[in-house]
Amino acid sequence: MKPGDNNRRKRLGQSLIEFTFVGIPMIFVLISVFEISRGMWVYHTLAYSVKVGVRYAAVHGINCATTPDNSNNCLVNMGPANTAGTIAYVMRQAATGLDPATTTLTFIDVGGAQTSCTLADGSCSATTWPPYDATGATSLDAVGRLIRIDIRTPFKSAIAMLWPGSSPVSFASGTLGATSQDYIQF
Amino acid sequence: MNRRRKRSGGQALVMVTLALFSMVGMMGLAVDLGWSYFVQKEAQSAADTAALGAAQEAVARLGTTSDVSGFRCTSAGTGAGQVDCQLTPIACASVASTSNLHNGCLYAAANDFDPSKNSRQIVLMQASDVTDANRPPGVNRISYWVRVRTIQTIPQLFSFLSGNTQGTVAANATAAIAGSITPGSFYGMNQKGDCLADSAGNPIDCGIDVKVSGGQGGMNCGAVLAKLCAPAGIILASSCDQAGSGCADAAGTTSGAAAVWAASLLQMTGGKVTGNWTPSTPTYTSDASSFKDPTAPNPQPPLQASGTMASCGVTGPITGALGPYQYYHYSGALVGGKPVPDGQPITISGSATFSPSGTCPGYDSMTQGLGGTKGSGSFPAYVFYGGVNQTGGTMTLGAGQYFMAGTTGTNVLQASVGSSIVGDASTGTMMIFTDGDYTGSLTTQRAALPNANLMPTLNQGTLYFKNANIDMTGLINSTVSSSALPPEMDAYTGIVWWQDRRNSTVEYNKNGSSACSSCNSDNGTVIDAPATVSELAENHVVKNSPGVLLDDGNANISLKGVYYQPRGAWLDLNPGTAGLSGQGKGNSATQLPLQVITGALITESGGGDTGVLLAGPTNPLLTYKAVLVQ
Repeated sequence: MKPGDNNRRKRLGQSLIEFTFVGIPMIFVLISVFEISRGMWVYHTLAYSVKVGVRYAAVHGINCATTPDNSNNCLVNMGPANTAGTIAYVMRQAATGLDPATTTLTFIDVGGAQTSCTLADGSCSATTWPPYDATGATSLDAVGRLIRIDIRTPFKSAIAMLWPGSSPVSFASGTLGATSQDYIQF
Repeated sequence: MNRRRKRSGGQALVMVTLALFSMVGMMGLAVDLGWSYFVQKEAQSAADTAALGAAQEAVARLGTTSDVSGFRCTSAGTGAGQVDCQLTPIACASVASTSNLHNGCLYAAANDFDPSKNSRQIVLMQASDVTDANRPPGVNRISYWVRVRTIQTIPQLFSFLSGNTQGTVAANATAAIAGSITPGSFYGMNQKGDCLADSAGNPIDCGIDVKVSGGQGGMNCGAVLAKLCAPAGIILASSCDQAGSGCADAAGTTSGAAAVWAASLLQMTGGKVTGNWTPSTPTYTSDASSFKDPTAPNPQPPLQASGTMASCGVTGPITGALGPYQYYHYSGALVGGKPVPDGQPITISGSATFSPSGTCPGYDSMTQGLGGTKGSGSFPAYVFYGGVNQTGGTMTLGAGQYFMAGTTGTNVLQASVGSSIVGDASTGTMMIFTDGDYTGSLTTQRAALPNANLMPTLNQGTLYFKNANIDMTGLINSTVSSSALPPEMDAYTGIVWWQDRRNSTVEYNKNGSSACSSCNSDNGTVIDAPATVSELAENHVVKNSPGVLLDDGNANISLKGVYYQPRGAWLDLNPGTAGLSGQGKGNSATQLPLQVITGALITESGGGDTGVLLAGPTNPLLTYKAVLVQ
């Protein structure tokens, strides 16, 4: 035996141990950076989309009705997301990279009534929102009333499997959400 | 040995390098995209505030000339009192410092969008009126709009590696001077301390907004019966809760079977309603802006005449085709060869039709060499000094303003058995109940009457209808295709009856008053409550003239639009069968598409089912203000 062989073997084992010490945390850091970045990306997109949607609804409120007698007709419908000019359409345009079928919207008017649908084609109904009443009786659609939209999308992440107590192989799934509210401007 | 160490070290380097690429790519998405969204949010805020700022400045500049609602780019300019139109977008650096758009640029700069300091930023301004094809889509009821684009290029930190060295974010916002619908069916504007006056002029019913009594047999308010039916809601400004000085009772009271029904009830904090109210508990707010005169900040409707109006003196009842004149009554005796206006009402007994093609059936100032111009156009003014006394027949009113300009007696408009008044339905008619000095413009016009100085003082008066039929439609906004309303009257959309703000127990702000030292602008704000004795005298308010006593018997009163009385005035309904309700009376009374704005509503007890039976307004009051529309 050459003296060097013993050393070489020892070193091989050493590098394996080194890899165990350095590599595993590095993979953990790598996946973490990757997944947190992806989560941030999704969250930013959600927040942007919902902000755009609420702003769009807020500037197309009561005064955009065709009645009472006036000539404005810019009143907007909640959906569907594949019809230009609706709130859901505007939100889908802003929600690049999200899965329309699993991204759910919740429209909440000042009375607290909630309507939920997804960004998929035809999911959100073609009804006026905020709810418009020609008699003004419900007072839900008036300048200064608060409107709110929630958006949620499932977020499956590899990082979740590294969480203590989680099942070691399955990618646990969470939900990311964002909310925006504004007063009806016009 | 050394070689091996190097080789294994090289492995880690390759691994880390490979990992770095994907990491940096992902961080590029998170950090650069996140930063872009953040900058986009800033850009949107800057665009929103800049657009609103420029539009708000336009409102301020137009406000003094009362044509906020009727602005067109033909009168555009960048001068101090002018509003700027830029049909193609221009950069802030090219905006004149005297332009209203400059205000927008300042707002953008205050929100971190200043192209003069940051070369990566661009702010573009575009502005025009309703006739421009680039106006915000769908929004037609506007007079002026400003669109702001904010653009910023962002150097990329992580995405740089994948070849994107620059990112661009942009935001758009459009603000406009737009007509905003005034909500509500019924406004009771009297506040704690505001009083009505009895027939002797003594204060009564202080702090009361609604006081209803009597039966309500035929007042079908949807599925219920109500003396006051308000499907678009009631707003009560009084904070009276049956106690304290300045309060005679709770702000809203009912007695007997009388009931009030509203879809919503908003009241000044501290106030109370008693009796049969639906809803029984108001929603409270102490926000004074919710209870101010909803027609503010508009001045009173301006007289629609260019130059001196021609006058027409009559001695007896008039009929036939009548033109836009200043009508006055005189007796046969002449002074200096000219008639002397005696302040008596103009009597109409047969069929009378008012339109610009009509003539003067009496002493015409134009043919008598006294000058003046007969009104013309789609919306002229008709003035009746001494008011109108209709004793029968049908008055057909063409589109225009009808000034019931004061009386030497009690009523400025009286219509009795068999009389009908029918207004124009496509452009609308506006009746203004006032004295002989409305906003000063009638003082000027009146001076052109022959022997004007010999006409007695004309005081504010009230209305009296008995068994008459009235069918009138308020002003239809000029953006409705069938309407020929001048755009500058758009701020008065819906108004069908307007009671002079000066005819009130409180003092509204106004121009050129000697009795009110703090009055400087006709903007719908209240200066003194109650008004001083000298202010009441200057306004020609007599005893209980601010009150409209609708003693209508079996009248059919069908008003569509907005019924306006100022704060400090009131609507008093005598027992009858109609009140303010649609065609059909008693059990067949229908809900009227009307907004009622008044100080207080009183219905007297007694027989009959009179009340105020409203439907949701179809032609509501519009307030033109700067708002974000896109």
